[in-house]
Amino acid sequence: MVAGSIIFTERLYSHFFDQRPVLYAIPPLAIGMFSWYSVSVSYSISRSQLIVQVISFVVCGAGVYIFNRHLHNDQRVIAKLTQEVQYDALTGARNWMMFRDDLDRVYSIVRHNRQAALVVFDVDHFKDVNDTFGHLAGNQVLMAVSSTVQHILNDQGYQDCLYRTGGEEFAAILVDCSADNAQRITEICQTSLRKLIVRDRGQHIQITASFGITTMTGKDRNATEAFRRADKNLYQSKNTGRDRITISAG
Amino acid sequence: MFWRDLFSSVVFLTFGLTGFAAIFGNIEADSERLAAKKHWLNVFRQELGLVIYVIIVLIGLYFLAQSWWRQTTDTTLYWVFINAQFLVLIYSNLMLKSVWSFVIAQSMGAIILGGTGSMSVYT
Repeated sequence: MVAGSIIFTERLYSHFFDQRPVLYAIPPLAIGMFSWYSVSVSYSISRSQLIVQVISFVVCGAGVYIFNRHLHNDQRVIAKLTQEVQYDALTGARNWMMFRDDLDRVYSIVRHNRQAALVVFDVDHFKDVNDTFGHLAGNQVLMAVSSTVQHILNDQGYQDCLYRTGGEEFAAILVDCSADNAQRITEICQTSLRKLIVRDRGQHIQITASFGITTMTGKDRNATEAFRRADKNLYQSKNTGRDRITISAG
Repeated sequence: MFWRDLFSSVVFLTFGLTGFAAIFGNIEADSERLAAKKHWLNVFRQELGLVIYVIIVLIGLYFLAQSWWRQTTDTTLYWVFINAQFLVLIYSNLMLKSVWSFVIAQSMGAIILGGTGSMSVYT
């Protein structure tokens, strides 16, 4: 247990060992050697067998160590190229960069006689949640909101179209969706968020959200114009008392 | 004899443990993806798959060691399996992040290495 604990606590100094990988390998190596020394003292193992096993331990340990470093470096690169580049780590929604790219892509689709709706929303009084319950509770709220809305969008047949566009601001791009349908889906989201209870250390947090909806059309000069319109609708919802939906066609 | 034993031990352990580490890495990556999807904040919950995997490997090595001890007078493979148990346990200590994961894996290692009838020294 003691030997295992020494190895386990190495992670506490991971920053130090990241710069000195050889030093990182020394404690496990020393403990392994000590283990075999103890075996040789306590049990009947021939000298040649002991040497074979100690050498094997060192060679295999070094091999696995090198392999592991390569494996984790590769995984880090892959994760960076996929998950981390596209998704917000906290909420699991797509990030701003992906929103920007996807909005441009959808705008080019809309210009070819397809329809799309853009829904933007944010959590009402989110600053108060952070100030009252702490930032960890605030993070829980964001995760719960994202999870709830993603679930509804998936049920409605719109997969992977939720984006976190700011602190407590989210957006959804609904391709091949009419204004009426977008309003219906948004109303489901609004009702679900009203019913959502986030539990944090015995406290129950209830939230609401304000929504702005617009449809994207070929008349928009660019994708940003549609986004500005949706954002304006969101602020109208905010200014008229929050927990509301404002919709305008493009 | 010495060189044959040395070569076979090194090859067996290096390839065996590299395979173990590769599967460990895959389970770790899948667990991280699942944790991100399900919004799990608990590290132990995230590592449960890894703990189960380590325990299964330790038990498997225990039975292999026992089997070789009974079946043959050449003890080389028996000590190779004991060596593999050491390496698996040390690797787990290095890779598992949760204290609970560490305690469970280490306790299992203690029981298994103790049960092998030889290696209570490490644990």
